[in-house]
Amino acid sequence: MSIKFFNRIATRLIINVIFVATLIASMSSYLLFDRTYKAELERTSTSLQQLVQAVSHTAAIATYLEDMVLGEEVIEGIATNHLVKAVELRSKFNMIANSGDISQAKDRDLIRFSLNSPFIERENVGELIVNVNYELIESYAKNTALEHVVLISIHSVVLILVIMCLLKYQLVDVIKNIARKLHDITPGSGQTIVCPSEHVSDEIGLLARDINGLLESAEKTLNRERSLRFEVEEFERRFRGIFEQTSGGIALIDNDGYLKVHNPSFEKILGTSRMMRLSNVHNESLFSVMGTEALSLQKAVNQALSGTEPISIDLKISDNDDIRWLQK
Amino acid sequence: MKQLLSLTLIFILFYAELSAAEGVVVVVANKDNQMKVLTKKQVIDIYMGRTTLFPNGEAALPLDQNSDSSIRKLFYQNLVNKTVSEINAYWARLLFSGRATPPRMVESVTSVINIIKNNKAAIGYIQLEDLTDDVQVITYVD
Repeated sequence: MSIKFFNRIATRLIINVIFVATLIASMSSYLLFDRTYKAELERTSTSLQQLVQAVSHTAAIATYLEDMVLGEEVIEGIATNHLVKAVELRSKFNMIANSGDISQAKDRDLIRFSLNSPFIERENVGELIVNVNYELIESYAKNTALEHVVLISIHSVVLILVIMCLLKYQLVDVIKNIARKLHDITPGSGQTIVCPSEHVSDEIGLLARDINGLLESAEKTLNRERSLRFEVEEFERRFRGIFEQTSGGIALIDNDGYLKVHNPSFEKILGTSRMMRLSNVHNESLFSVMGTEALSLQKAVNQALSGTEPISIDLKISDNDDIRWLQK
Repeated sequence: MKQLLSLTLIFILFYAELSAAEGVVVVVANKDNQMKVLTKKQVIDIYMGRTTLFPNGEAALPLDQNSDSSIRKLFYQNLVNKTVSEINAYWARLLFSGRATPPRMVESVTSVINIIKNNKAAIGYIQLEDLTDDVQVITYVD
């Protein structure tokens, strides 16, 4: 039993599982990457804002009092965060405390916090400007997202392998085994498929039972065929004996009178010379060797072919002085 | 009956007026101080350490009252809407920077009035009922 590699059920199953799993894993990975990336950006930005929010009250006091020492404390506290490139605290009048240079920063990289007086709500007393290291935030977000994607990919691969192993051992191998056994069975030999004990109650067991039913049915049919053939052969043998040994001449001719089958008595009745003419050497028709009786014979054959009743005629055969009458 | 109702009404009005007077805090300064009126914001700036000068450029010496006193609690509540604890925390935060110093603490209302009476730069707060002719009111904090 030889099946091409790509026609095997296991190969096709593996290809399909890998294709579908890869497709789903790719889509999931893309969605997960996008979601994780955005969430990570959001989370980092929020934590940075929370940090600035936490020191904003002190920053407001520093700008309210134009307190450079306090302002620098605030600046240093923010600047220690690795996501901050530079930070500057400006009061409404002339205090400027900074760490790093924000003048080169792009506007989109700057977060500006307006600072109000700690005692009069609507009085603006300064501004806290943070130059956010978005490249680093994006890099962190990408790394985190990639880590998630790698993890889910590994998870998917492991899952696929487990599924494929289960399919192979619980389904494909069992089906292959049944197919191989079925292939090796000679019809009518009485062999059956033995169903694996763990599959007796499932679909595999049902398949094995159905196959055994079909095998049994085929065996019965074959036995009946054998019996009939034996009877036919027996009948043939008996009728052949009658055909060969009867004193009556029997011959079978076609529509044109050519001889198909005949018995020894027919040879004797027709005589050697006529039989020679009828034989394969001369291959003449029976009508042509019957001489004057040819027309009567032809007519009788035609009548026999057109009707259902047997036809009986008398024919005269003369060999030199020997005259014989035949009834056909 | 009408007389009784009228008496009751008069008593209620009198009591309400008395209670209102008790809740009013006035900021007072030396009578010779050129600044006759200060805005609430200017008082805040002096008391919260933003400036040590009056708007006319003369030095200002803010006086605070006993930390547990009800007048202090009322003053800061009315002035900046902060509790005494928050004010203490504010000054504690500024303790090491040295940029601003808290107002000088004075034990009693009498001491406040005496210091203001003798120091042209001094500025303090008292209840309206404690007001004397030795000082001038430069703003109301209510």
